[in-house]
Amino acid sequence: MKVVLKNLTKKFGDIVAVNDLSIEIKQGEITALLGGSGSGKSTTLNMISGIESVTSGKIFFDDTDVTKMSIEKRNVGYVFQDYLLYPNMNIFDNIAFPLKMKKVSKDEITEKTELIAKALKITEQLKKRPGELSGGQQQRVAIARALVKDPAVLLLDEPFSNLDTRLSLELHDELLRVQKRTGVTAVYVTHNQEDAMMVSHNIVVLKDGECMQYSSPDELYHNPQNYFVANFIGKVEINKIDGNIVDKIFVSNDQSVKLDLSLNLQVQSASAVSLCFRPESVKVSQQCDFDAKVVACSFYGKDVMIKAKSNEFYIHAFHNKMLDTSDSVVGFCIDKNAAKIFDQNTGERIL
Amino acid sequence: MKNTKFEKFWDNIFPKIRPWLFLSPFILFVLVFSVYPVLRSISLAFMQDYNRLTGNYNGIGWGNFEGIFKSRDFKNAILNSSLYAVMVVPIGLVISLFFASLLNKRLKGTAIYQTAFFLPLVTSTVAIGFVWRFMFNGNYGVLNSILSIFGVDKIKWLEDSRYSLTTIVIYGIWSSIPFSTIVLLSAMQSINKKYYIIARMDNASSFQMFKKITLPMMMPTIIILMFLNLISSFKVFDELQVFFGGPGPYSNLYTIVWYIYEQMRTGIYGVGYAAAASIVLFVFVLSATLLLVLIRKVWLNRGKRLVRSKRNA
Repeated sequence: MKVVLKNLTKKFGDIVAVNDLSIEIKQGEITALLGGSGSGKSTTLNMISGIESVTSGKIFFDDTDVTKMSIEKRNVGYVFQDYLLYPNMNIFDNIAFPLKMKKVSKDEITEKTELIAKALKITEQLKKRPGELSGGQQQRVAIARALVKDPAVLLLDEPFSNLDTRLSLELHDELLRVQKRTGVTAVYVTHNQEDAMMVSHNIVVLKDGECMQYSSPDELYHNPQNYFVANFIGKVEINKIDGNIVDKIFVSNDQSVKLDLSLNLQVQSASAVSLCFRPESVKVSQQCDFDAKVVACSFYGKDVMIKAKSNEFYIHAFHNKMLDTSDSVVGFCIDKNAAKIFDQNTGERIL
Repeated sequence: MKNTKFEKFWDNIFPKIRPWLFLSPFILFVLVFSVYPVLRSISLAFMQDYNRLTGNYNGIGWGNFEGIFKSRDFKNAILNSSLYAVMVVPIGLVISLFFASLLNKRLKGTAIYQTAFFLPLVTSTVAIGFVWRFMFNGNYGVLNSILSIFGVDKIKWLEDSRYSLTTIVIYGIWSSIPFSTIVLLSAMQSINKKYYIIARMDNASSFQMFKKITLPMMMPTIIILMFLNLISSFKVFDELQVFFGGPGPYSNLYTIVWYIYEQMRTGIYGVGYAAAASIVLFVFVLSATLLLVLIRKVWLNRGKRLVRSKRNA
């Protein structure tokens, strides 16, 4: 089922938590609501679930207006951050609870529960109690309980934040696999852009209750619409050099970087702009676009990440080997096709 | 300089006795007011024909116990105390649970009700008992007025021996409600509200939520309350004095504590009987407590036991 939010607004007193949000969450996809604290991501999720009322705007599940519909009737599967399994029931009863409330026949309950338990690899745990399970297992049970009733949408509140890195990676796969298998429309909230990038078809980046960009992880990474998104996304912070554009040439404030962008740039000149490029779009080479002093080298899997200092800015770049960090000055080349220019005042993308 | 033998000895020994110095006032208190009386009453219970005036006794044995178990009043006391406990504890808890769930709802004036519920707890049994005497009054009592609406004839609550147990049971239930309600309410409020949100998303009705979430999560508290109320219901005494000025209108309503009290103050040889009855009361309460501890253990471990039995099968 697709979920459509139309001009959705939520106010708590004078505070606007969600401001005129309009997005269409596509059927059968995993969508992440990504943002920092206070971005309105949880409020949005709670409005979809019905936990939170709507101040203005509308929510549709397919063509049905559910804005005023009560929690009971929306048929959403919800996974809380702290799982909230019923401690007094064993795992089987926990998962079967929604079916029992629907008065489904006993055979069907057993069949469906065992099927979903198998999909989430918790068959071994069915007879245990929540207290005997690890956090990751409890999370799976909570997802199974939400999915067993064939929900219209699956909503998850910070599903990865209570798990350590390895467990969280495991759950990434699990969630993708189960979602693919069931075809359920899933929406989850996260503050961690890495989780969002790895587990989603589309991401809604939120800031102060407004949508900054709504697109695929790939698009978000390589084609951010504004500086906020460019800076927010990415494991390593995007490189940023402040300067101006003069005759389609970017000139940094200290004049040390001059980059001819005449091939791609539309505007002739602009002041107070930032040149941004990802660490992988800059190469260490002989005298090229600018020089900088290497200050740190850190091992980063396949590559080495180099941190270098110029007069006015720091640069992160990937390189194939460790460099001498004692006073060595090296040249850097920027991949012009990957360079982006943002207006410093509005944050809007110029190139 | 610390060079004398005594100073070295003192440096060694002082850190060890210091904690006991701090504890000594309390230890003294416990020894004088708890340990000694307990030991003394155990010894008194086995001293036959103990004379409180001379301190003489006629050998050690089970004579006092044989004596009280032959006594009609003591049998009456055990029966009454048990009946009282069996009625007051469960009924009081069910009503308290009902009130707690009402107070748990966010209604207007909840704070006022919560205070009102607390009031009986901080007022003395004697003062409240006199108010209840008015309510129980056979001629103009409010209880009979209410019952007359349903066509029930006037009942002489305080004078008719057939109703005297009912009278103190009604009072007992009423007086157990505040404490139980407050404790149950706090247990209820500590349940994570999100459980109810999840349950609502799963279409659970209010009754199902109560049965599947509220009640099981409050069970440990309920068991503890059962055990506290059980102990206090074996100690009925004040209300007898206030309502009947004795153990029921025709000495028909002995309770264990009243029996102990009466033996203690009448007769030269009553002390031994009183001590023996105290031991019986102690055994009663102890066994009831052990039973509840057992129930609690079974309740808390029932999941694990289930798993184990399935594994063995």
